[in-house]
Amino acid sequence: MPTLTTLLTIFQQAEYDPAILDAWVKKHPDFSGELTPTWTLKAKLLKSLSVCFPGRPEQKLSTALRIIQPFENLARLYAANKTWNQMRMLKRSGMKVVAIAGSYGKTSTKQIMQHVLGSQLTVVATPKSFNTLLGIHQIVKQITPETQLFIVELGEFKPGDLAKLVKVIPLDYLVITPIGRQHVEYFGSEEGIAAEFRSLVESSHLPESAVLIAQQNQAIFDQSFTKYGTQKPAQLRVSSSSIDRSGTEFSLSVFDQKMAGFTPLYGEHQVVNVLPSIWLAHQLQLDIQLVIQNFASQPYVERRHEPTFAQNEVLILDNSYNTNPDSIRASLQLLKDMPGKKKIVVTLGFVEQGRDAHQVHYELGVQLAAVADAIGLIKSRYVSDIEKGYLEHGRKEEDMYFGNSQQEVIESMRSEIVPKSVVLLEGGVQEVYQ
Amino acid sequence: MSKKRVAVMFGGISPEHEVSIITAVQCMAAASLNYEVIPVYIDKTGHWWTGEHLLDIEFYKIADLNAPKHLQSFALHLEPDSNAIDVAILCFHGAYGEAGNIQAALELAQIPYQGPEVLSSAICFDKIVLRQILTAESITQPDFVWFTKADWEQDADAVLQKVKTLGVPVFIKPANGGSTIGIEKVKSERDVQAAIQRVLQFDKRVLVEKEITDCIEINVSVLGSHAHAVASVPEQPIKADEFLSYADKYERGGGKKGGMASATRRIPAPISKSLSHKVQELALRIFHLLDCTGVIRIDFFVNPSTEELFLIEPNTIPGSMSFYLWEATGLPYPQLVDRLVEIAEETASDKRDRVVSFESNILNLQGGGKR
Repeated sequence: MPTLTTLLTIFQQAEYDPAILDAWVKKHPDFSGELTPTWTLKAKLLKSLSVCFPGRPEQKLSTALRIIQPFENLARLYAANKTWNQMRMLKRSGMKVVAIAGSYGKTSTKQIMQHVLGSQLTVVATPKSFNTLLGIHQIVKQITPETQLFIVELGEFKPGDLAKLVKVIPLDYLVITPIGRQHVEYFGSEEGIAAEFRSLVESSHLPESAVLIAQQNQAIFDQSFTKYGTQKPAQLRVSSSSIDRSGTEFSLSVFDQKMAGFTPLYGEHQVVNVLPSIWLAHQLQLDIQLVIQNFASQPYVERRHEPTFAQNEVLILDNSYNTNPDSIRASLQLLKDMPGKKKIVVTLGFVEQGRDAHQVHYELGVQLAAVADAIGLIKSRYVSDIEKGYLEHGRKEEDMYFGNSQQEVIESMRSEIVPKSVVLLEGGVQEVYQ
Repeated sequence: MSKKRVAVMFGGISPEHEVSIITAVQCMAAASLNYEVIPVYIDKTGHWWTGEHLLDIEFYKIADLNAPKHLQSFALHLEPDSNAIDVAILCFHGAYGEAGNIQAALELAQIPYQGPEVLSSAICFDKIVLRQILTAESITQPDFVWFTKADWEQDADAVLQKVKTLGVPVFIKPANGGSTIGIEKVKSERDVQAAIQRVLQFDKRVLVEKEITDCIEINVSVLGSHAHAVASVPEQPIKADEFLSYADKYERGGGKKGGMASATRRIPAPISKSLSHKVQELALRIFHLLDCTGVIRIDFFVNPSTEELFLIEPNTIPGSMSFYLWEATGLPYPQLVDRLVEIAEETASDKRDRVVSFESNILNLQGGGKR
């Protein structure tokens, strides 16, 4: 049974929605991991108060929430008002605001943008876990008038959240990264998710030219926005890329102009994430060549194929932050392209996949069979589905390893991890709702 | 045909004595495939030894490195052709064997060695002279100033004023010294004075360099003779600290990820192919400018975005002879040794072919030895 602290973490990540917490508890009655929340004032208050009430841990947390909710609503109103005023003042001094929304690649896109535009503009970006109104308010109040660009990562949790946020933070530009099934449990269906993003675009009141969307989102929108991706007709696209252990060499087509560059980040999908920065540089009439040059010194993005170089030329790619049926394709493509003696994946599968979970995990097993010489599975409800998919597609039982944690699985796979292996750590138990 | 006799010389009075042992034992293992290896070990007190035990790393773990037992004394004869050695490979690290002294002894004894030769070794080992020469050749380096112990004692304020022109942070370094021993990083002007006093304990000449920012360290090895040299793939050393301290460089056990020890280097380095090529080109240019031979490693600071390159230093006898860089370039260690032997012989042969004396009747013109 999950502990109070674990439940508090889930509660926090679910934006304190009791219905989501209940749903999670029903789905994970035997969850044995220990998750830790960000210890905000609210989290501390909830934990302290909840021990005063009877019931199951999730009920205690919900009751505590009801007690502090009126105060919090007041705080939200205050934050909204202050943020709106502060934003008006900053925009009068010339600051531009770009929002990054979408299901996947938001954080990478934001961090890349902050780095590659940083030599031409004074940039402030919302840090990790600050993508709600109260969080953004904390950042906005620290922004100085010298700031020229504010990058806001918009997290979407419940229907209507995004539209509310952009009312308080008037945008100049909007980037929508690929939209997928992530958080489908909150929106009921993929159409529900699509509707959320349409409503975001509407509420932002931006002209078509100020919106950039990932090309795979085109079907969701009626307007013909500028698109970025890997294929025509995207006006900004990665035309070719090749990876080795030094990083990724790439060529781009930007409004029909050819450009080439290098980044130490791994994979075409990471190169795609620089295209919004190039688009914005174009919008702001900055030096695009300089943007591409800066990408050559891009710091790795934490737990997004973040490499660790182990002895004996073993390369560990940590993608434990972000895995889902849409993003796994990029991960496995990277694993396939990366030179290495043996390709190994350690995963626990996907965290939330609604009703199709068994099928989705079986397909994961099939995909793994095509690339991974050995797999390590962290115990979860869907291990047997992954196993089935893997075995039915040409792999053997001796290529599979099991354990209760990532560490345990890796330990059991020691003999598989030969010199020059590439080990992909795909998905983890933290940030369940990110 | 009998195997060539290759003397692998190492150890010496140096803070990097132990590192030299590791370099030599690796080298002897690779050389033993094609050559008769003669280990020549100089202990920590400066005595020369040889013997089979020296081939085995385990020996050094239990031996007294100040007065080792079970070895035979070794003497180098300066008279030509009096040493049973065809070629010497020097595996010293630090002033004792890297700054030109041993090289000079081998020149006198006419024993071919891989190089660099005396002058080149001495220049590369003196950070101040090196910077001055390369500045004259327009090689980009960190901004620097230098002074002597006498300058400091006579007018410390003037020295501090000079150092101040660089701003902070700065690195304060002894002019001589192969590793990071004695180097101080100073972040605040008020700490400069104390740091200078500490560094003066290591050397009478001090170099102060401005910190280079927004760069990563990239190292390249160059292998060759005066006539022809090639550059290896570049590596990025992975360090735990702000700069590579002695402990980081040689004693670090490595971090852990998934229970696996971290690598201490990245090969290839995380830079574009065009930038790699640029670094290699510059390394080759510096190799020739400094008149090097043998296998050396040149360390740079590189800005991956602007592609600016700054020379940190050349290492004329690099740790492990940079064999890992050559392996990654497609040259296994035994073949690296073959190449070093060839380079030594080629350099010696060049010297033999040069005109070094000519017949003169000057003595006959002298009147009975009296003016």
